[in-house]
Order: sequence, then C-alpha cells, then structure tokens
Amino acid sequence: MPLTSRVAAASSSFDQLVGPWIEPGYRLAVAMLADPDEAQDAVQEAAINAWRSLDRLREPEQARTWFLSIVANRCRSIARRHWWTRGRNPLVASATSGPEDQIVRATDIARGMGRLAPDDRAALLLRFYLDLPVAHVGRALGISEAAARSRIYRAADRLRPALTEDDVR
Amino acid sequence: MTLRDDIRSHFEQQAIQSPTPAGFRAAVTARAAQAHPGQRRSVQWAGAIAAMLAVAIVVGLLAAGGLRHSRSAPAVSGSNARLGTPSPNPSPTPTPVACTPGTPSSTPGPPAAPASGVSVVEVDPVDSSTGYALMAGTLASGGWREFLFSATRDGGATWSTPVQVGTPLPQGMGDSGEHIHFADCNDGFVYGNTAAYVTHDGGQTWQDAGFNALEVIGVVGDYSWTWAVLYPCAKGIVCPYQVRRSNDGGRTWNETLPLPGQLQPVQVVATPYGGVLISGNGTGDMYVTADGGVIWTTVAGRCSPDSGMAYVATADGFALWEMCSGAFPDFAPRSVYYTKNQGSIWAQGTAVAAAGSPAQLVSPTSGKAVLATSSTPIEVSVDQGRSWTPVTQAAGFSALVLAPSGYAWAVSASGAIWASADGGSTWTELPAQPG
Repeated sequence: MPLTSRVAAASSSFDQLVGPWIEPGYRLAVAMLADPDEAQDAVQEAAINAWRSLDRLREPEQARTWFLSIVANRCRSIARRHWWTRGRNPLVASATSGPEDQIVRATDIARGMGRLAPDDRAALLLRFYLDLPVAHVGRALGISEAAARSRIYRAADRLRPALTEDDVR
Repeated sequence: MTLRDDIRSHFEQQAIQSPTPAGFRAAVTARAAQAHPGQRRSVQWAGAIAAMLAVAIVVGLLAAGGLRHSRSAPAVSGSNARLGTPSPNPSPTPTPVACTPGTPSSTPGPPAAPASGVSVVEVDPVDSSTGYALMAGTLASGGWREFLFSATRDGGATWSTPVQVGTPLPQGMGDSGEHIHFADCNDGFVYGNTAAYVTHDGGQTWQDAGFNALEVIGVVGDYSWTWAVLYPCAKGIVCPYQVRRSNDGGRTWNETLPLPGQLQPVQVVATPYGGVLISGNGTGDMYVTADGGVIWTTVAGRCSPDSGMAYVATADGFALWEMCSGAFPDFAPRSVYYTKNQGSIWAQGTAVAAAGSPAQLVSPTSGKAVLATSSTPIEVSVDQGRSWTPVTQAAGFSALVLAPSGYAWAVSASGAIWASADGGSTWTELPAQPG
C-alpha cells in the first residue's frame, strides 16, 4: 500500500478510535484547568501524544479511559506549568439563570469546585457527568478503583459542607 | 435535588458556558495525525527544560514566600471543620443483583388466570443457569391475550410457576407486551408497542412501567445503563421518538433525548460500557453512542428505501451488521453488509438465500453474526458475512436473544427453547420448557 494510503488509513482509524473521546476529553480538561483556552491546548497535546503512542493501546475498547488518562496527565502538566494561576478560575464566577435558590446552590457548588484540586474535579466529572464506572475513573486518573472511590467520596464530601453552611444562613 | 444532581448540573452549566468549539474534534485529530514522530524528542526536551526552569522558579518563589495558594488550601478544610458538619454517609445507591446459579426459583406470585394455547413468545437468557421466558395465551373469553412470566435458575431443568404480567391485552395490537428484558436479576421489563410493565423483585410482581408513551420500541441494557426508546406523544400528534436512560435498573429515568426527526426506530441494541444502537426502518439508518449518550453518531444504512425491514446487530457499537430484506412486504433477508468502523467502509457479504421471515440477527463478537428465520436452521457467519453455516438440525425460530455473557437462547417454531453457550455456534434444546 502506498505511504499516503497508509497514512490516510491510519488517520482514519485514529479518528475512529480517539475522535469520539475528544469532546469528553475537552470537558475533563475544562474541569481540571478551569480555563477553556488551556483546555483546548491540553486536548490537542493529548491527542498528539495519543497519536504517537497509538501502538501502546492494546485493547481498542479501552480507548476512552486510555485517552482520558492522557488528557488528565496533560492537564496535570499544564497545571504544574501554570501553578501560579491556580487561584484564577474564570468559570466559577459565571452567572447562572433560574430561581434564586437554584442560583445560590449552583454558586455554592461552583465555589466548592474551585476549592477542589484538579484531580478531585476530574474524578467528579468522570463519575457524575461522563458516568464512567468507578473502575474506569481509576484507570483514567492512574489510581486504583478503591482510591478512585475514595477520591470521589472525599471530593463530594468537601462540596456538601459548603452547601450546608449556606443553607443554615 | 441530590448532591450528585448538583454536581452533574454544575458540569452541564460549565459545558454551556464553555462549549466545545465547532469542528474541534476534526481539527484536533487532523493536527495530531500530522505530528511527525521526530517532533517527539524536541517536545520532550522542551518539556524537560521547562520543568527545570519551573523547579528553579518554584525554589526562588518559595524562598520569597510567594506560594500563597499553598497556605490558603488548609483554610478550606479549616472552614469545613469549623462547621462541625458530620461526614455525610454515602447515599445508599442500589446495586445490581447478581444472578446466583443454583439458588431456588423465586417465590411464585398469584396463580395466573387460565388461558389456552400458551406458548413462549420471547426469552431473555443471562448465563448457563439463569434465564427468563415470556409466554402468551388466549383467554377463554376470546379476543384477549394474557402474558405470563417464568424463570429458571438451573439451566432450564425446572421453571418457576408462571406469573401473570400486567393485564390482558386485546389481540391484534402488533407486538404489544411481547418482549422481555432483564437489566439484572431483580429489574426486568415486559414491553412492546402499547404496553410496558416493570418488575423490581425478579418477576414476582409486575407494574405499569409508567413510560406514558404511545409506543415502546425497545428496553435494553444492564442495571447501570438501561435504555428505553419510546414515542412519547399522544396519537395524532407528531413528535420525535425519544431515548430515555436509567442508571439504576429502571427505577428512575434521568435523561431524555429526542431522536432525529427522520429516524423511525425499529430496533434497539445495547453494547458494553453504556452504549446503545438504535436503527430505523427503510434504509436502516443507525444512531449510535458508545459512551452513555455523551456523543451520538449517525450511520447511514445500506438498505434500499423500499426494503421491508433492515435488521442490525453489533457487539461493540463499532463493528456493525445490517441485513436488508426485500421490498415490503417481503421481510426475508436478502443482502448483508458489515462494517468495522461505524460505516466508514462497508463490505457486502454473500447474498442470503431466500428464507423465512422475520429474521433475527445478533452479533456475539466483532465479525461474527448469528441469523435465525422462521423457516431455516440457525446460521452463523464468522467471516464478516462472506459465508453462512447452518448450526442446528431444527429449522424455524421465532426469537433469538443473546446475553452479554455469550449465552444465547432461541425459540423454535414449536415453542421450545434452545440454548447456546458459545455465542451461537452450537445449540441444544433445554431439558424442560416453561409453563
């Protein structure tokens, strides 16, 4: 087969394999970095890394967690690179619309999220937004299933008191 | 609203505020595929240099006391501690029930009303020991069909006493109430056309599923990912068909999604990890998700628009089979197509000889399919449809259902249940039949 055909075929199979997880990867990156521009960069860099290490993916059905784990790693690297901006979270302060109590509740959650570590936000997103099984959350974050369960619980636990405090007020 | 809902809502809001840029997927994968392997080393070097610089900066700032966020972090936990809020217990999430081989049959419910001509209409196998059967019979008063449920937990050696499912339905209502599916050992559905019933106690009692739908196309999937495809509007009102999703075996349905208006769904197939394939009539267009509904892909079908029926099957949501019948009202399979990549490239298999109808097609693994019709032996293809091999002496089957475990059951024309433990390659009749 000519090289151009092989490249085209490889590109096509790469898109089939990784393409479906670009959007979830972007959501993961936004959750971890709280910065849409940084998130785009993270996903792009993760895709390049995935392309170069495609031969390490033994089981195509694991492509989702495999790619999400690469995104999470890139996000960690970027977060470390820009550690001095971690206090900045442009998405947290965004206004929401709806009944007042919902706004208060959503704002509390957003503030609570802003106080969580990127990996904790990632665990909550993977579990409760992307609905990954806990074992897959662990795989994507490079930790055991038990550790993933513990991280999800602790992260959620940290959000709940913030709500309780405001509810009391 | 639970904390889980709040968290989901937060990320949904975030997705609205920071939507994925248009064409992002195509741009990202295209740029990635253009990356030359030679760039890798330079990127790594750049990363190493950046890391060293970062370390130097961190050390410098630490000396200057610049890491403010490292001091602010404990303040958050201090705030929580000050509240004195007890640690919340994890919400008692119900879990799927394992089907334990060898356990006694469930306690039989109220005895069923007498009906004549009772026969098995559909089955739902779980594994080598457990399976469910739905039977139907005609009431003595005539004009009404009664539906009965029975289970085996010993590989078909014995069956539980039949239990009535819902109320009898008028005859001549298509496939109303003629399908059965269990998400786990407790949570099951009997559905079809205008009726849908649910059990959460292993089939001892059945209630209306509460879909409030004019038509129920399919209920598939496991406890964590149960999917229902419905027509939610009243008769005479045109609206899109709807997909609903449950993550607790059908106790609650937490998401709805309108199907594309042109898709008239006729078949629903669940795939692992929260995937589902919904196929339409006519050309057999498919609507597929492999990630619990985050991303949906439309796959154009291969059948001609006047096909009587397009049968689809998939093991994983990516390798797809489509079998087209002749022009309406010919429902016998005539041609078969296979794709490994969700329709990017289709290969046409060997034309299927004229056979009985309706056909049932399932795919236990990528590249393998099992076909049953009302007048032929069960046939298997392991070469992407290029050849088909008969694997049963008996001919004529009315139902063919495959479990994720690889166990399959088929119902013969005489109403006997046949079982396969190897993805449809070999078949034997169960030792005893329900009812």
